[in-house]
Amino acid sequence: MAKKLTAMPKNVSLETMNKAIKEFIKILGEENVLIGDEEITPYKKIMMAVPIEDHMPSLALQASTKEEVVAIVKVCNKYVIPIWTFSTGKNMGYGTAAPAQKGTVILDLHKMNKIIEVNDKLCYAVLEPGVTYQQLFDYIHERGLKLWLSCPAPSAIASPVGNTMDRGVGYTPYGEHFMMQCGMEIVLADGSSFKTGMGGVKGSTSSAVFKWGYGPSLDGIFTQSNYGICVQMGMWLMPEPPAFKPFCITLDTVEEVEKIVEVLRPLRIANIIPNAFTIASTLYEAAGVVKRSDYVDGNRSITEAEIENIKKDTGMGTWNVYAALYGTEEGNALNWNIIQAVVNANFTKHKFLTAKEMGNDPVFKYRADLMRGYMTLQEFGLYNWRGGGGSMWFAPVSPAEGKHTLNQSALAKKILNKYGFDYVAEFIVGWRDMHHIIDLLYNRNDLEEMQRAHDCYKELVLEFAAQGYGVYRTSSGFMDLVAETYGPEIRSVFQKIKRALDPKGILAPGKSGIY
Amino acid sequence: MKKLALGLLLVTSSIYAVELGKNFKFENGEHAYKSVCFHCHTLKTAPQSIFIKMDDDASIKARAEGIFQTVRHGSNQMPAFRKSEIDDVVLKDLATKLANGTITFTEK
Repeated sequence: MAKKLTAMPKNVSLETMNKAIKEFIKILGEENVLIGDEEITPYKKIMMAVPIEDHMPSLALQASTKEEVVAIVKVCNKYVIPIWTFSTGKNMGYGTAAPAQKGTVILDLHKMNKIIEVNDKLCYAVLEPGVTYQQLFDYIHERGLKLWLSCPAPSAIASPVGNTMDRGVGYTPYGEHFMMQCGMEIVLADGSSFKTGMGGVKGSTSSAVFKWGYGPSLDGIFTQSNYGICVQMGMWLMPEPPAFKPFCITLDTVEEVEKIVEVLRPLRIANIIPNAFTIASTLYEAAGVVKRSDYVDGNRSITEAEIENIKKDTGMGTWNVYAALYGTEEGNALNWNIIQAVVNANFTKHKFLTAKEMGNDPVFKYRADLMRGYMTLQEFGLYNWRGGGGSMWFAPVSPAEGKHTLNQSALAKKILNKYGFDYVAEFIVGWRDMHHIIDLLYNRNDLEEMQRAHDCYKELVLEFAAQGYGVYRTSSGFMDLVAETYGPEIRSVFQKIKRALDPKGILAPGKSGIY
Repeated sequence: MKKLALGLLLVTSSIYAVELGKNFKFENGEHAYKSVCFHCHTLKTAPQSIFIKMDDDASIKARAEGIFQTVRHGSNQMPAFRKSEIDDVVLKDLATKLANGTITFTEK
């Protein structure tokens, strides 16, 4: 008796699925074709506020090589079976491993995890999708190479390729990960494959050092898309600087966030502050280290008075600004003087905190580790705040201007509080842009609360879009909704490219609202 | 001479946990613990109850099975870990070594 599939894809008969499964087993061996409730269990753990039943995969395939990926895609093409690919599937608040459509076959690339090359002279790595940040970090540190990673938070179990394909960001000067990507190898829906940029030249010497190659540049269309499967990627790594100086500036009042963006933006754009600076709210800082139930009674939004109590007990600011200096001791000292002078000229009740004052303070150490690409999973602490493992990242983008801070905070608070949730947020000034990162934390074990979180997220997306703020990413449960906010014109172009590259629509249907 | 060179090469390559051009997998429970569990369970991020040591074989077996299932299912804020990242043999080794006290708490 064959194991029962956990779901079926739309318009595919059981007979067809069984034929495809036989071929999958021939390609991967029985142990890498996971079927049935017990085998699919780890793929069902999600944090977004939608029932897993609506995103249940039919089965999961574990591939280890490009040849296996090609063979699987050919089978899917032959039987018109949809397939959802992920690298390590650890994108917690953005959908984890759940496909956009129920019944889609999962292609899990975690076992495809070879580090192809690490070049410490030209400072780059070439990786397969299943490589984790921890694996690459260990490779570099075991050999004493002077290279730094740029990671999202949390990092250790996530994939550098996967994060870059989803246009994730990090906290070092190399934090705009897609900007630091160089060269991809892509498997298309018909099973053919090609290399982007310089990679097409036979015996190419330069695929990981020069992004553009010749003709149209294609790498971008494979990110956040379903046009192909990335099986190899080059990415630039930062040379370890001789000196590193992480620092924090605490600000006392809510209103000061507007001014700090104006004051620090010129320093950021001129690269005096070389990394994205983060402005974390009290709750974003506190959620990982204090217990909500010690301050809030019941299942309602936290009050301003209760946030004041947390500030008093922990010494945290209303806003906590983190950035770092990277370079020589002399260069850092010069830039540190500039930053202090500019901030001192504009604020009076602020505090500068550095490693000297903070020692082993866990929050400061965590931020410092993020800003030097060290491995941490500490951000999971946020998920304890409300309990019940519900989390959805809501991240609208705006210009890096102070006037976009207080209005966004007020709007987000209003909507979150309406549904009984807390405003747990930070602003990140990338370069000219500012991301407003909000973690909608809720108890996923409470169905009523999950429904509230769903409705709250939807309202956040729509209300922010109405003010001209679009989100840069979302989970597989909300991809159509977000695609709608970007308008029908671009979506129609996305769709035309999809039909050209994947006429049967087998690759990740529904990814970014593209079918 | 050639044999000696090959021997040295093998000795040299075995000092690294991560090799270039080779598929990676955790070697044993300790390797998985240091790469993953350690990051949360040595801080307030996750419970330190995973380090509770059982005394007799039956209790060790039962507790190891509980850890095994929690890792596969995930729990609230803890993600689920799939066979593609930790296979059944290594996970069983990890769970048993946590349950019998071979793997103990260390400060992060």
